[in-house]
Amino acid sequence: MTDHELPEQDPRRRTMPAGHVLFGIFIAFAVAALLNAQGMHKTALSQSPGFGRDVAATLTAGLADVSGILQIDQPRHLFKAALGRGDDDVISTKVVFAPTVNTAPNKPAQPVKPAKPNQPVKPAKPVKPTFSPQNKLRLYLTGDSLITDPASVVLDRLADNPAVKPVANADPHAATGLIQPAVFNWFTYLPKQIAELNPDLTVFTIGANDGQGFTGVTGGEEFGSPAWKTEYRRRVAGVMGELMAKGGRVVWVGLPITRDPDLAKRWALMNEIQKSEAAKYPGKVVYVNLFDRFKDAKGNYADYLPDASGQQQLVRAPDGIHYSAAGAGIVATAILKAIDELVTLSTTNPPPAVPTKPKTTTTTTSP
Amino acid sequence: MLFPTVTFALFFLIVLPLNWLTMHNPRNWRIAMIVASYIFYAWWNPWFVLLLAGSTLFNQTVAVRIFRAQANRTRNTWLWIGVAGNLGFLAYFKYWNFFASSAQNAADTLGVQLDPGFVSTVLPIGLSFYTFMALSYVIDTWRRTFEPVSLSRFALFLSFFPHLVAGPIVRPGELIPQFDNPPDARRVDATRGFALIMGGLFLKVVLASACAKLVDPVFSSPKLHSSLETIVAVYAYAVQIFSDFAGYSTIAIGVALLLGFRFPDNFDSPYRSRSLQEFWRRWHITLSRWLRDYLYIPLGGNRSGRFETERNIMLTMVIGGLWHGANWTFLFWGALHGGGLIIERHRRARRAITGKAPPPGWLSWLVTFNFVCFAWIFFRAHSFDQAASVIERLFTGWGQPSPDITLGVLAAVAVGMGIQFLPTNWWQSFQARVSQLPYAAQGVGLGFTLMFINALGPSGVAPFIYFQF
Repeated sequence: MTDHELPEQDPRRRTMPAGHVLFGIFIAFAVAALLNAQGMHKTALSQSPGFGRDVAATLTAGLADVSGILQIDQPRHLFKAALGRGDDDVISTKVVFAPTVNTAPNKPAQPVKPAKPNQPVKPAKPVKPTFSPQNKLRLYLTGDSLITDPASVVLDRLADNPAVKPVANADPHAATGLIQPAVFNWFTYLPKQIAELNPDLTVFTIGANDGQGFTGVTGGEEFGSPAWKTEYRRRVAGVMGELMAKGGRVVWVGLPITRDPDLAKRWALMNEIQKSEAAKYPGKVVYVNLFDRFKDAKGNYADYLPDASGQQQLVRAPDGIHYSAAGAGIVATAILKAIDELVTLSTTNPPPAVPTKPKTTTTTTSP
Repeated sequence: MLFPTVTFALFFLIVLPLNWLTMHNPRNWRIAMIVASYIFYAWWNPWFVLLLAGSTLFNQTVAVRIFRAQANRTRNTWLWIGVAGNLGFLAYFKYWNFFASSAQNAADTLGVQLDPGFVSTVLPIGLSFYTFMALSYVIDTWRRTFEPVSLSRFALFLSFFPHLVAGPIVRPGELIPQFDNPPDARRVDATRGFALIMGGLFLKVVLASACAKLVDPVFSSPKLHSSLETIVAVYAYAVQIFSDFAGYSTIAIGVALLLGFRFPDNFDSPYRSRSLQEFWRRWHITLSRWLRDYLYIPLGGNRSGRFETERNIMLTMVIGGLWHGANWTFLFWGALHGGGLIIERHRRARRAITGKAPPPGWLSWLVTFNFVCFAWIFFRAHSFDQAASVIERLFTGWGQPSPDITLGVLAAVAVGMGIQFLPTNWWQSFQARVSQLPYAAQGVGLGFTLMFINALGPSGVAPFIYFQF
C-alpha cells in the first residue's frame, strides 16, 4: 500500500446519517448496559476510590436492579452459566472467618512471672518440618497482581526440586484486596482453596489495592484512621488465620516501595500492620520485607537496582508499582529464603524406618 | 482511557455528536477535536499532555522553518534538528535507562567504574507512535512532498484520539487533507465502523485474553509445563499478539470511521503469508511502510550492491525491533527477521538463476508461519534466559501431562488462525448485508454482540500489549 491508498467504501454498503449513527450507538449502549448490568456494577466497584467510582457504583447498582426486576439480565446469566462461569457476576461482601480462626484483638500481654534464679527461660522452639520426595511440600502461591511474576519465578526455580509439589499454577487475582470484597472476596475464596488444595505452605501477598478507605457495607472509615487500622488488622489477621487453618505455614510477602510517594506512605502503613500480625506466629508465618529491598542506596524508590551479582537491572514495571522480570527475580529469591526459614526441603528421602520387634517387656511405643 | 471501557463509551457518546455538530465550522471543529483528544490522552496522566503539546510545537516550528528556508544547507540543518529532536525525545524517555544500564554493566565487567545516571520517569503512552508521525511530517516537508499546515491542523493530526496511543501510524498526506474536506454527515459509513469496532473488541477481549491464560504461565514458568503445552503456548502467543494489536488497530479504524475519517489498514491476515517479505506487507503495515520509506530507502534500499542491500535490510529490521522496546530481545527478534529476509532474497536469486521451481505454497506457508512463531518467543520473553528455557522446554518435556491446554485456549487459537484464511469478500458481504438493516435494529444487534463479548471475556480489561511500545 502506498500513501493516499485508503480503503474505499464498498458501494454495496448502505450509509446512514450521523444522527442515526448516534441513535444507533445510544440504543446499542442502552441494550448492552441493561444486559450487562450485573457485570458493569462489579466492574464499577473495582475502580480506584473516588467520586468516579461512587457515581459509577450508584448508577450501575440502579441499572442492575432494573435489569434484575425486568429479567433482562437473564441472557447474560444463562450464557455465563453455560460457560461454567455462573459465579462471575456474584458480588459477595461478607467478611467472615471460620470459628477456628482467631481474629480477636490482641490481648494485653500477661505479666510474666519472674524466672527463678538459675533457671533460664526457654523460648518455645518452633518445629521446622522436613519435606522430601516421599513427603512433598504442597506449595500454593496466591494474592493480588503483585504476586503474578514472582510466583512464576518461584515455581520455575523449584520445578526441579523433588521435595516440592505446587498444588496449583500461580493464582493471582489482579485489582483485588481486603478492602473491597465486592470486587473479589478473599474471605470466602481462601477457605475454599485451602480446604480443597490443602497446602503445607502458602505464599501470599495483598494490599496493592488497599490504600483506600472502607466504603459501603463496612462504613466510611478514612484510610489510616484508628477505626480503619483496627478493621484492616482484623482482616489481615483473619486471612492469616484462614491460611493456617489446616496447619499450613505462610510466607507473607510485604509491599515494595512505589514511585508515587503518597502511595508509598500508604503501603508502609499496611506493611506495618501485616508485619506485626505475622510476628505473632513465629515459625508459622514469615514476613518478607520488600519495602526496603527495593530502595536505592539513598533510601529512595529506584527503577534500576543492582542484582545479586551487582549488575544494574530494571527491577520495576513502567507503572512504578509492579515488578519487571528482574524485580520478580529479587522477590522470588526473598520468598525462597523465607520458605527455607519455615521448612526444610530435603532432596533425598529419609532412610526407611527399620522395623523392630516389639519387646515383650516394653509397653510404650515411640512416635 | 482504554477503548473497551465504559469510560470511553461515555466519552465517545459526547465526542461523536460534538464532531458532527461542529464540522460545518472547521476552525471550531478542530479546536473541539483537539480538546477531546487531549482529554483522552490526559486520562492516563495529565503531564503527558505537556509532552504531546511540546512535540507539536517543536515539529511545527521545524517544518515551517524547513519550508521557508531558501538555501539547501538551512533546510538540511533544520531537518537534522527535527530528526535529532524527535529521536532525542524518544531516546530519553524510552531508551536512556536501557543503554545506561547496558553501558554500566559492560564497564563493570571490564572493571571500570561508570555511573551514567538513571532517569526516573514514566514512559509516556503512545510516544513511539506519535513521534514517528511527527517525523513523517518533518521529513515529508523536507522532501517537498507535503507543505506544512496551520498549527491547529498539525496539532489535530498528531493528537487525533483514535490513532493517538497505538496507531495506525498515519501519514500527514493521508489524514490532514481529510480535515479540510469534511465528510458528508448524511452519508456515514457506519455499519463498517460498527463491524470493525465489534471485530476488534472480539479479538482483544475474547481471543487475546483466552490465549493469555496459557501463554502467561508457560512463559513465566517454562519448566513446569510440558512440551505440548509449550508448543501450543507459542502458537497461542502468535494469535494473542495478533488479536491484541490488530484488535486495537481495528477499533481505532472503526472509531475514526464513525467520526467520518478513513485510516489505512494495519493488518491483512498476516499468518497466511508464504514468505517473510509477504508477512511484513501484512503485519503492522503502517510501521512497515514507515520503516521502508523513512529508513530503508534513505539508507540506499536495494539500489546498490548485494552487500549494501542486505546491510540495509538488517539495519531496518534491527531498528524496527528496537522500536518495540528497550531490550536486547527485541533487537534480536528484529535481527532474526532481517536474517530471514536476507536468506529469502538469496533463495529467490538462486531460483532465478537456476530456473528451479519455487517450493509448494503449503510448504512455504508452513516454514514462514513457524519461523514467525519461533521469533515471537524472543519478542515475548523478558530475557534470553527465559527464551532459552522456553525453547529447551519444546524438546525436554514430552510425556508429561498438559492440564493447561484447555478447550477455551484451543478454540481461541483455532478461531484466531481460522480468520486469517477467511475470504476477504466474506467480511465485506457481511457488512453490506447488515447495512441494509434499520439503524435501530443494528443498535440492538450491537448491544447483544457487546453482551456476548463482555460475557466471554475476563473480568476487567488487560492492557494492550502494544501500549508499551
